[in-house]
Amino acid sequence: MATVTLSFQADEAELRRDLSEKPEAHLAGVLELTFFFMPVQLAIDGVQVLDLRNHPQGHLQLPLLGFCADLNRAVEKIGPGVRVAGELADGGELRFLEEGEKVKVWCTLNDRVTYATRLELVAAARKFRDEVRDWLLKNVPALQTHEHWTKWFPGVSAYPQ
Amino acid sequence: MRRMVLALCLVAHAACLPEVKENCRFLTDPSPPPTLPSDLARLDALLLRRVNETTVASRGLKTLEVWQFRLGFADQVLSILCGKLERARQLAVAGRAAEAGRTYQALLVASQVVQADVAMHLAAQYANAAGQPNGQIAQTLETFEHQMHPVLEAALSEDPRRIERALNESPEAFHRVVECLEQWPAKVEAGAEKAKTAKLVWDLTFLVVATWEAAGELAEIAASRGPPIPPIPALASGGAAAAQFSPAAMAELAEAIRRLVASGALDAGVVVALSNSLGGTAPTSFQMSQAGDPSAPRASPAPSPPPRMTVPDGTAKSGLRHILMRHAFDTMAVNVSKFLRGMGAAEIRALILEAASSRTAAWRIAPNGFLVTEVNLGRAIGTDVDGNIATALKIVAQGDGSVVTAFPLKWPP
Repeated sequence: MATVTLSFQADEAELRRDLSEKPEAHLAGVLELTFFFMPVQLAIDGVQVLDLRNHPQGHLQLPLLGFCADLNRAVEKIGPGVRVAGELADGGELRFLEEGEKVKVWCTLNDRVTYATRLELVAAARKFRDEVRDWLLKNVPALQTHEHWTKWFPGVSAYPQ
Repeated sequence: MRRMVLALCLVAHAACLPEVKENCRFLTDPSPPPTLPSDLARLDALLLRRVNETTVASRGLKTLEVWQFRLGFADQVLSILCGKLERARQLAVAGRAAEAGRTYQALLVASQVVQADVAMHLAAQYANAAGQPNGQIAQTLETFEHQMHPVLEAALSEDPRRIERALNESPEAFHRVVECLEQWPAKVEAGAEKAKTAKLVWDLTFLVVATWEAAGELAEIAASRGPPIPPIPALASGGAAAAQFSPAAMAELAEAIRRLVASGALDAGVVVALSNSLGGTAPTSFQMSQAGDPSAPRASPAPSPPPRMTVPDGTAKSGLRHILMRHAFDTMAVNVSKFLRGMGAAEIRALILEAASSRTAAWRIAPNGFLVTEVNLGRAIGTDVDGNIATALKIVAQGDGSVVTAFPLKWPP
């Protein structure tokens, strides 16, 4: 059983800059790509998957919406013999490959490899999605009227239960 | 009555046609293969299967219009393929793996062309039977020959650089064949005949996808974009034909190809060029995408040709202004990829347009509709997110070609 920690740190200065750009008026692709860059951490059993030389304590600046949506799509696709690869903003990939009962997780930016079960990864990704949603509802409420909102947060995840 | 007479005449004519002699020892005098190194044995088995199945398919070529082709295939083409296969085996048995690999590699490409050729002639035969004008059929075959001739010639030369060049000069040659084979029988209302070409087409695709799988993992392929995703043909009988080409078999073949490249027996450039030969696209950017399962949904195909790129002055979140604010050398942003010192708006704009117009720019469509590509420019243009020298440029643009962002990447990514 692996401990998967997936979290982000709110960067108030970045948020202020983004709010001044009226995020709700932008295309989904722009929001996924250039808005809400926040330090994101993915640790599995203590292994900091996103730890780079230039990024201390395993936090990598990633666009929250894009990373969150991609990660959740990815973990849904994990299956036997299928390598799921996603590109990280500013380059590099986060990859998943199911090997027996475990899923191999590795980051091409640092070649760091670790393992968790698919269910553990799915649970972490869903929890992360809820946290991102709650943070956006609190800090960027106008975004919930964006036509892409229910694609970023599909089904019951669109609003807090 | 007139039709009956005509049919009798044709039967009589066919009876007088020169006899087909299949000039291949593996067909006329089959025997178990020698003991070969396991990875080469896998290629050997694939090629032998191709020789067999392509020959079986060629026996369906029965009309006057395609008889000459069948004769040439049976006598000359089979002789060359089987002769080379025999030589590759001898080299492998003698422990000359690198030389054997070179011949096997050439055979993989040559058999790909030959298989497509037989499939095209089968389709032409059906089209002819369905009454399509001969001129149209001849033109289709001529176009095919024109595209494939340089690839076959290069393959028979066994020169890896020449093969790579020929494949790269016709990056979508096999893709067009697959498209043609998909559409042709339908156009002439011979949908049922699709099944007869489906197996050959699946075999073509099988190898390309396997090379794509291999290419995706090869660190040695530093000078290329790596894993494009070939589009899988959706032939009517694909399900049945595909059963022979299971994901497990493909994974094994890809692994063998990977090891052979690592050992120097196969050439990375040829493998990548072959993996591109269905005109595929790379994994979708900004989303997680699947690889390894040929039945899985693939990234959206690249628009062809890509739209004219423009680099608008933009805003803090899009266009040149965003790029300069986030990725220029002296920007305040930290821990992001940066362009080289001294690169300003004009240089970066020129760099984007250079990369966007590059022949190696393979565009793909992200789920949000944006266009994405990465292009290795072969020279240092900045540093990546972790401070490594970057020689490639990633570009993201809106559907109309308006650039949203672009930044340097390490190569391979």
